[in-house]
Amino acid sequence: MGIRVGIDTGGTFTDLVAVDEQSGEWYVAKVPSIPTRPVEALAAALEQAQFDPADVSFIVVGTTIGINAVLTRTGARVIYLTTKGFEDVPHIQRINRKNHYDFVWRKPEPFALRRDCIGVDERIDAEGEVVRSIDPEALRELLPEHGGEDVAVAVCFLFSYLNPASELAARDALAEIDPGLPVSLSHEIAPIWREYERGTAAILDAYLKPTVNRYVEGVTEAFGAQGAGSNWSLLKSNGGHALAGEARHRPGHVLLSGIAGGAIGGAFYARERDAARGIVLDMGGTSCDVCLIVDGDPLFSSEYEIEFGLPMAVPTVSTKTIGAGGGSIGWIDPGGFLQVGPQSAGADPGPACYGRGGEAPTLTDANVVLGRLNPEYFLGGNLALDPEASRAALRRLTGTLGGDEVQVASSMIRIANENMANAVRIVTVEEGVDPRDHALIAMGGAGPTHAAEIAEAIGMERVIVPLHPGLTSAFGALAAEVRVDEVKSVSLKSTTVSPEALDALFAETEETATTHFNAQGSSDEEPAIARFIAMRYEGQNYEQEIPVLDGAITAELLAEVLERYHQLHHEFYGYRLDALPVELVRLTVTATAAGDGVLPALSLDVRGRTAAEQPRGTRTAEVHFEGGFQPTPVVARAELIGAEPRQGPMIVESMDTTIVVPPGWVVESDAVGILELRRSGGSESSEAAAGVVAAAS
Amino acid sequence: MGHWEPIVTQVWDTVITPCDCCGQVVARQLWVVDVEGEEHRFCSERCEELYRTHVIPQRGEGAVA
Amino acid sequence: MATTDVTAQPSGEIDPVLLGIINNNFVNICREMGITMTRTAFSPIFNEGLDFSCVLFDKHLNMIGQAEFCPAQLAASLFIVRWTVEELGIDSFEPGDVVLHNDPYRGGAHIPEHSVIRPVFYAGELWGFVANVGHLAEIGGKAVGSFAADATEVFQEGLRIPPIKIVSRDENNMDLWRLIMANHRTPRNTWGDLNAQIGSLRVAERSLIGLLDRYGAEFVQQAAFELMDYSERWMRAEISAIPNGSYEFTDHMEDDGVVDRAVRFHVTVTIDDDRMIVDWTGSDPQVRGPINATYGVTSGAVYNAVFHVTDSSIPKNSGAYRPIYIIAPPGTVVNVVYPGPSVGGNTETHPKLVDMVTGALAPVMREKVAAAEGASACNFLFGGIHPKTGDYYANYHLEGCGWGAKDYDDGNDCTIVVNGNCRNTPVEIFETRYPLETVEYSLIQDSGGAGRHRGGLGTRRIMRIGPGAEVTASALFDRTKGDFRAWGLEGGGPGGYGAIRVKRNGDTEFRTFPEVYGTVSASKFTNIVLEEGDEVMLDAPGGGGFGDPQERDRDAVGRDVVDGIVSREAARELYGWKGE
Repeated sequence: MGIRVGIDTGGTFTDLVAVDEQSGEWYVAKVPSIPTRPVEALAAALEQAQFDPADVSFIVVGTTIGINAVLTRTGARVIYLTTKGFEDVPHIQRINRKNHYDFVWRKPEPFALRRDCIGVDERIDAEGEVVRSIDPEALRELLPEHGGEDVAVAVCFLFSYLNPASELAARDALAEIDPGLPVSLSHEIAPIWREYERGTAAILDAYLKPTVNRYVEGVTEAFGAQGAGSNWSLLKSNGGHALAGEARHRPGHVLLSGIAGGAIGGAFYARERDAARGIVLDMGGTSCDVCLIVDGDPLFSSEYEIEFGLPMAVPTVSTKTIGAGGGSIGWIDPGGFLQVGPQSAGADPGPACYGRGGEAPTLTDANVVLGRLNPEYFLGGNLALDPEASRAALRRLTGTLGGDEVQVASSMIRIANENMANAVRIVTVEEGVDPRDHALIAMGGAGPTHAAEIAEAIGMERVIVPLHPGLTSAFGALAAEVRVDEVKSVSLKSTTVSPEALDALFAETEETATTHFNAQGSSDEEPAIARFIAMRYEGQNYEQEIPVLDGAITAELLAEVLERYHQLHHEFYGYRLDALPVELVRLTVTATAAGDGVLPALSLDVRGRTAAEQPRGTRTAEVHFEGGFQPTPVVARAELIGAEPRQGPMIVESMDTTIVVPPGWVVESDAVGILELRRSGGSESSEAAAGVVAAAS
Repeated sequence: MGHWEPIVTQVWDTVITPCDCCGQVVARQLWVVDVEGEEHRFCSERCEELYRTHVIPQRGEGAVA
Repeated sequence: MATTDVTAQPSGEIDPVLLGIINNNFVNICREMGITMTRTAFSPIFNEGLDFSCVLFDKHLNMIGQAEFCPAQLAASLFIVRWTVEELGIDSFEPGDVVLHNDPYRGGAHIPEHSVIRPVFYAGELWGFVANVGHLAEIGGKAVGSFAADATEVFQEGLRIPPIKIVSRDENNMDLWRLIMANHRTPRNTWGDLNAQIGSLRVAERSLIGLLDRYGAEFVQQAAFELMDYSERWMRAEISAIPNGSYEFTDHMEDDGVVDRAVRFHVTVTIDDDRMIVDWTGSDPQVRGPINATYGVTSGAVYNAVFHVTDSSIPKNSGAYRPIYIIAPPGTVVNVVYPGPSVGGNTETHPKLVDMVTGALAPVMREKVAAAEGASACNFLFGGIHPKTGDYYANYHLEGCGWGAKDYDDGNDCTIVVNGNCRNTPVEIFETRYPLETVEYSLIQDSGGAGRHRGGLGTRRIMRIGPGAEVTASALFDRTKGDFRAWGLEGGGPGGYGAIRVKRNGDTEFRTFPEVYGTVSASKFTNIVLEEGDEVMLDAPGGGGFGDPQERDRDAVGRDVVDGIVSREAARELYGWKGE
């Protein structure tokens, strides 16, 4: 028992959320991020926090170290060893194009130079049989000169996901030839078929090894120097966390550490409020992440792409990112249409109203002009906004668009909301679900400001606003559990598979999962195991994941699982094909902590915010909604605790965000301060009428 | 002045008439009009205009039909 | 009902923000259609290959939305929906109907492409249509895998379906389904793929109705009219910016698969103020072999080229197409008439036609165009009985080719042809399904056309027929011989040759198919039986270069040499390289 800490490093700020597991006291801290010296920001956050580091029991860190190294191309030199004849797979890629009518686009550069892609004489066939075994001595000759630089080796042999023998032999050989040379084996990073995707996962893992290792060493030292001990974890792309000493061996699995926290935090709140189906909307300064929550957990995907054509095929919290944030800039395209984003003013110079020299109109400026943001109370009162600067920025567009600053502001909000609504629609269509029976979980500094109107555009009726929405990612890191997703590609058919063989495969995978689980956590406890089979009709190329109940795999259990697949297919797509064989292509075993990871009770009150940062009382302000400005009560968030539900319109202020409750919505707080907004059913605004009104005014 | 002429098909007709000028399929009716002494069957009046304003001037310069 | 070119008189009163939102919704509806198809279709050509298109029409038969899946059908679908509805009569459509056809003479790009069209009714009245076009991998005909490379008439290419109601009021017309499946070699895939296409129409219908619920049927139609006018104005502005004049270009196909004679294509692109006329007069009469282009292909190629050299933000709807006139004389290689064959026209002729239009405009739009791409999908079709399972299999395999260089950058290596957007099949998936072992899959050194900017490289793939297997194969390539490689611009060199060669079990060398099997063409043949141990080598053509290779940045040449992209000999000879 002690103080459990979650830290999230964002592009602009590094956030810390901590809770004393004994006293139930919560702490927060926020420091500017330093992209070139990431370790410093972590140390600074720990220093700013108002607890004694010696009381820390555990720290989970969500970091962008991996993704930043990839985006800025500052990782290691990778030597790629692969089956002879296939050295060019990372360069050939998948041959499709990002855009249809675009001569300009260039295929992504692989993270291994062509001269460093080396063919090794070995071959395994489609059944996992060794056709030609590897000659370890040959590697000595094949390995190119490498010295005095960050170097790492990535190994990907064909069909290694069926038979890893060649890859394992390669690692042994390399350990002798050059001990200390980091080696990543594709079957350990991503044991799936599709050699380009698996090979790239191995390359990225190798690419990040030196960077992540240095980071882990630096952070361990920094925490130690502060007296916070050495018990800390990295958040993984799949939303679980792993002890840093363990995670450093698989940096490919922490690539998206920085976005997982938000999904975990959002899922936590979905469960808190009994919203089994939710959509997380995490809107920050530059971008908005959308993530689907299914049965209280974020959706996972193995098809994440860093950029078009550059996949990272490890289980990742499935988020869609679009360029819509508080700093998104309004501009006019060559056809005369108003667009918003993806360009952003960032934090520097930031929105015009920040007064740091920004001249372009941003969403924050639009919100200020519409009266939704209080210029005297922004970021806990720590930043005074200049509404005149916002108006001036918006006037840069009125010349072309016509109308005044208010109309442009209103249009910008509308367009940005529609972009985010479309992102939500696409995410739900991809999973074949209907967004209208989902709750929208509004996070990030800007999410709660836009959420209700986005929900309305989609037809959703319920919005949940977590405590401290701007800190939900750090909270997610704190709330994260150890989680291992062990994946195994198989090639089985419903008509020929034997339940015993399937049972054996699952047992094997379970064992591996448990071993990793224990290594990544700090205990020897038995994890909770969940099993899934990805399957599809013979001939299709896309799978559905079907859960498999506990217990030995019998013929009956298998039949039930298959029936569930037929049903699901029919639900999504309107037809089932009972007579067709079903291919079983992937087993997944997920190991998570068996206990319920109980946290102390949440609280709106936290140590780390001064009294001056608390929102001030109740007042009335002119706020713009469809149809014009109207007098709107402005209330401090804490005031809603214990009160009756309140009708919109209303502005709710809190330390790190402003919650907009439009007309036709009702807002209610629970006992700790979590807000829910609900459509009150009285709103009959016809969008078409609004359109005519907007055009006529 | 041109006129629309409906295309009458038998059940065994499995092909469609193309426009004299642009080559597009004409499904239901042809725009029949006299141009410079020759009867043409176009897909629409738009094509007649194309024929008059572009094809004839261009072909007059010896392009091969 | 005269339904072509309806231009309503829009009020211009709709708030532009709302207009943008409605346009996004149109595109989103089509995207949702496509995502559904990807998730549910059976043929890899659908889900890995993404060879399909999705479109949205109003009741005046204007296309008001399309989504970015495969460009090849994007123009064909423009005409298919219009002509089908005109032919059947708009009053013959009832809620829940689905019309199916694959007729190349009725707007299709080629016979494997099947279109499904569904009317969308709202409050009892017809509002519009949703449609998609998808490539079925097996459709009967004389060759496995729907590519009869030496077909001389449409009857040999596969089962030709004129517009028929495959679904009436949401009930399958089972007699029609049974007739169709009886004539395809892999009927289960046909059943799965067509159901995927039809299922996605229902998804789109729901979304469209949702949109009409939100904004009102009248309003959305009004918005569609305004969006089309908007696109038209913008396109006219782009065309006006090109200098007036007539610009010609000629290119060839090396043979037609039946007769060993080069085939000539000719185009004259005329810019006449704000309209563009693309006239293919001067192209050869249609040929015996199946490389003829249909009207759908030729028009699609023109629009594709125009979109490449104009602003990509122009909403793609009927309005954008209005200022572009296409003349494709019937009975020529650019507008084949019944019963001429056309299956290869969509993959081999189509990209050449696109390149010809941009090539014609190159002198006046040099910073917006590119040199020629390899322009061959390297179609390799094969099938047989799998020795391990006893099941019949058939596959349509294709390759990426090198793309042409630009004034400002090299061309991309091995990328799908300009009228497609397919992905390659991973070796691991390939070998799991088919009894062929891949020996090599690599970039071909020196296959990128030399230039200040280099053309992209093609790939070489070698496959060996596995134990106990007998594989019947067909192929449709081009640019394997003669003087017809991917051309360069402004002194750039031609791209490398494509090739398809075979090394029989026991032989030591790869040789051409005419040499070994006596086929008429080295690049186009059907139904050659390959046996265990035989090896096939597929080389994809490279892209053309741009500018004088002697002017290429010396560091770039150095890197190309170190990375093995360009050989030392070529570097010295063509690029004037002086390094080691």
